Amino acid sequence: MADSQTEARKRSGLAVLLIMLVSLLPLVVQHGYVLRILIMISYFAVASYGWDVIGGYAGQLSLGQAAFFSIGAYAAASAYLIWKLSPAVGALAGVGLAALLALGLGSLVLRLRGPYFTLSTLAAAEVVRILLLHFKSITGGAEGRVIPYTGFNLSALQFATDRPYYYIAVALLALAIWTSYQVSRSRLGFQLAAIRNDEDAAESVGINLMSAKVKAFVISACLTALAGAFYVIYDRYIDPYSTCSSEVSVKILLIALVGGRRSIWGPLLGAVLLIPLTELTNAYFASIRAGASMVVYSIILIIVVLYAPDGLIRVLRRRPSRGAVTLQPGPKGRNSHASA
Amino acid sequence: MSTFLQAMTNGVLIGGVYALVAVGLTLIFGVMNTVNFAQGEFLMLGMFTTLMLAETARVDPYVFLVLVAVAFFVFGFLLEKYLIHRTIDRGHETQILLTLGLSVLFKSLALVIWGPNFRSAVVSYRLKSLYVGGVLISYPRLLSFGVAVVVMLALWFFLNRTELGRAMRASAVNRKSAALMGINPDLMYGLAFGIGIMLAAVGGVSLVPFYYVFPDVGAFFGTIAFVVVVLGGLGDILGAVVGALLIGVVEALTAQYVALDLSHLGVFLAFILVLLFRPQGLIRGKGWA
Amino acid sequence: MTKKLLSLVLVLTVVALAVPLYASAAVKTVNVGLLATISGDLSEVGNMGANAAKLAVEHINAAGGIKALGGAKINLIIGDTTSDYSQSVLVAQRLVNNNKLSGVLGAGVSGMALAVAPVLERAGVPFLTAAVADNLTQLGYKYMFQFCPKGSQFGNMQAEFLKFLQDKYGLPAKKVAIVFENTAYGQSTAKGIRQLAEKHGFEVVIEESYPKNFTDAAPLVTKVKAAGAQVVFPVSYTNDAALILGTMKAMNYNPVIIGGGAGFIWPEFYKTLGKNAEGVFSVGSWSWDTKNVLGHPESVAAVKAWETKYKTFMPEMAGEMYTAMFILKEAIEQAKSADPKAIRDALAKIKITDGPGAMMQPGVVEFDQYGWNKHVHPTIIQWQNGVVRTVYPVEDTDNKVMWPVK
Repeated sequence: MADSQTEARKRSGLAVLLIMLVSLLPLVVQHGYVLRILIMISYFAVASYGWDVIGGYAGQLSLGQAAFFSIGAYAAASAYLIWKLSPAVGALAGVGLAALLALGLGSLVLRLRGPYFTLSTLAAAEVVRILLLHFKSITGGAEGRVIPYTGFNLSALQFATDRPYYYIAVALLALAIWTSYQVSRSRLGFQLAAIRNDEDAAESVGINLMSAKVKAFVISACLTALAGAFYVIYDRYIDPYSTCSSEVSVKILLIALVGGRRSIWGPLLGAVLLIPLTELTNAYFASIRAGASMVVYSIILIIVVLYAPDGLIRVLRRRPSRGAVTLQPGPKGRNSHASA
Repeated sequence: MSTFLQAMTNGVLIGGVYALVAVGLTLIFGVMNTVNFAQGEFLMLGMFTTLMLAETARVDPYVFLVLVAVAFFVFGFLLEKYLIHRTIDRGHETQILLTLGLSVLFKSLALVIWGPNFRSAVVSYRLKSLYVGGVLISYPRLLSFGVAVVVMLALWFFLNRTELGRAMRASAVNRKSAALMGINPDLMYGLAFGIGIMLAAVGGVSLVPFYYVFPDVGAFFGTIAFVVVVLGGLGDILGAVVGALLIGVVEALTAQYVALDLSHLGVFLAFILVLLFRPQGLIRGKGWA
Repeated sequence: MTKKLLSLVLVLTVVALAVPLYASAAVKTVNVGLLATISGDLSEVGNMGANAAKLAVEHINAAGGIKALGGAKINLIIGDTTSDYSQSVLVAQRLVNNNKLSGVLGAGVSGMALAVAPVLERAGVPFLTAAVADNLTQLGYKYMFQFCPKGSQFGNMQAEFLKFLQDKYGLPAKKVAIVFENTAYGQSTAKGIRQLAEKHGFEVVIEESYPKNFTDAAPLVTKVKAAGAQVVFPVSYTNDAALILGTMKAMNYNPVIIGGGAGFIWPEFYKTLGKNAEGVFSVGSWSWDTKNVLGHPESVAAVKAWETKYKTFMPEMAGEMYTAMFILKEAIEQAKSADPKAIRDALAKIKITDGPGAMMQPGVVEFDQYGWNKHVHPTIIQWQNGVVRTVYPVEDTDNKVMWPVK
């Protein structure tokens, strides 16, 4: 116990250093494009930390995070464009809406195990996209929504340079990391670990499966929605095809998976590696053909799944994840749905 | 009335392709207990292969039906042997992630190789149709439905009237006792995966004369296949066939009477409802009969 | 540990400040960016625009470059926005950050223009867009110039043309149908048609959107036919247009077709539809055979050069990008500088009446206070023997409408 405490202290010291480094970065980075990539890393990492709560800690593979991302984004945009509220207010409303959806959907579909849950999240995201496309008067339909740039305006969160956005993004990132940390060491975290190991066993020791899973789903939705809201505030443009596609869901999942699930730094590592990689491959290959970055992505995904299922952060540290589950057939053999 | 008949006809005809893809998916699940997230991408690859062959040789896409079927069977068999097999005992999550990775890989490779454009094969009968009693029956769609029927019958014959087919059914019902009876499970996995993606590729071939060929085309058919398979009960072949026709009709009726761009809403909502209330499937087919 | 880290940060800061980011270059070349959908499902339009911009640069440089800058050559830097809007923002960002640009052309797709405009506005680079969305110039951007007709003008022109067909050729139509793809472009064009069709006394019997790249037009055509429409306004790209028109023929349904531009006027349309395309009308932003193009030898040379190189008539988006390059060139000449701010100011008060810069109808380019080319209007074309021919407005052309439509 004492060991883990000193370790925790060491970690928080490291975190403080990191924060200082991160906050000084924009003074060093003068190149707008690099700053933009840092911002992207931050908000994709936030979305990924969100996924990690349900997909990592709870072990429920969600392929529908794009739905929450879009709800956050559309709420922030609509609040500003339709009701003339600050997009920050919209962002909070979006987080609330996403939480509600996660609560409703979760209490229904989290009863399902294994591939059934995954498929239902996939379908839920499809439904959200079809609805976003159809209700044109609110969402703008396929036309999407644009937040025009009107010059510096604090309440509208419009800034002339990218630096303020960078600090906001980093603050959100810190919140996401803190959340992940809290989940990992809370009662909920231990319950989720038990569920991940063996749902039936967890239930038999008195854990309320649904309550724990739904909580995780709601936290997950909130973080992902927050990332979505920031995305629209920063990029000023959304449409259903680019914000509510399975590609967005896969990207969010992949970042956490590559970096390392159930880890305080895993999703961040994933984003730091994958976002610039997308940019590099796009920059060098897009002139030849689009799609090159996704080829690289998918090969990384396959390699990680086969050889480093716990993510690169654990390859770097050369040790298994806390409470990692070895991937072995459950007690009922191959046909049981309760798998890692 | 003719409007209604029109919608029904459209729904049933496209249902044939849905059935091919979905039966492949359900067969793989039945034998291997693996959810193949790349099923739609095999259809896409089948489409591109056919299109390339047809464009090079300047002949009808259907000429290559058998060739593509055999090639994809071999492809599937090898893919199972060397890649999918590694995850066979590692749980659904690993399998989903691996096939998801394959799906993204195939899609993006197609994008790199063939580009993102929507392509279509030059076939003389692309826009030909029979106009009977106010109902338009598209000729290439009718043809694709015919292919689906023939392939389904052949599959039924294989599974019920051949030694190998019966062995496969046995190992789907119970792997352990099948192994005790001297059936090699690894061979069964390879065969099931090979046949499963062969069916998707055949569906792809039959789509080429009337559909667009583009890297993302598999996403739509793959998702529909999931809906169909869940509707029919995972692993249930007859259920998948009935589910496919049902989904085709639901989709066509929504398009005709509600709105064209909502045609999939009904399908997905039905999907979630079925998952919630009857995850074992809406239709209880006789499984493997 | 802390000290080490801090000193590292300090060193990094000093290094970053010491490295000058933009090397100051003598004005030997002027960098012009082009944002185009080279890949993705809108690649057809993107490549036409990019090829035309390249052709224009070739012509300008061969003719001695920019004279006010001592014959400086134009260096075209193409950014492939792909057909993904969010990607386009990133590409635009990369383009302005990595290059010292005097201007940016392109983003002919409305949604994309909307998405990249804030980037260029903040970077202070003049942006000449061929996108047609109505609200583009109402957003208060100072660096955006829209030199082509607006979406609502399209609808106006189509309704006006229908009236013309009635008066001159005795078209009996009263009932019209609007079918459009469920995208930004489809929605905004359809909106314009509806308002003006009603204003001109036509009855819109059905208005139906469909998902882009659908493969079964039977439900759509069944509805339109059942509604008894005599004229159909489809707003579609090539593939969907081919499917809809083919299905109409199969159902023995032959209304007058007045397309909403884009897919209806590109060379690919005829390749896909063949004879079914004959007689089809469409509105367009620009056409190669208006009086205004044929009246300028330089413009005629451009159109001919395109025909020789690409074996088709010069399509709309190509003509527009060719024009845009010359408008920008003219502005640089007048600004006598490669400085983007000076060029913006020159654009704001420019008036072009001659040369390829004036290829847009009616042959005058002049921007209003919102950055819109205030004189411009669209044209109506008809497919005649495999080629797009301008047929309306009558003051723009001597070509005759092919009537009745076979």
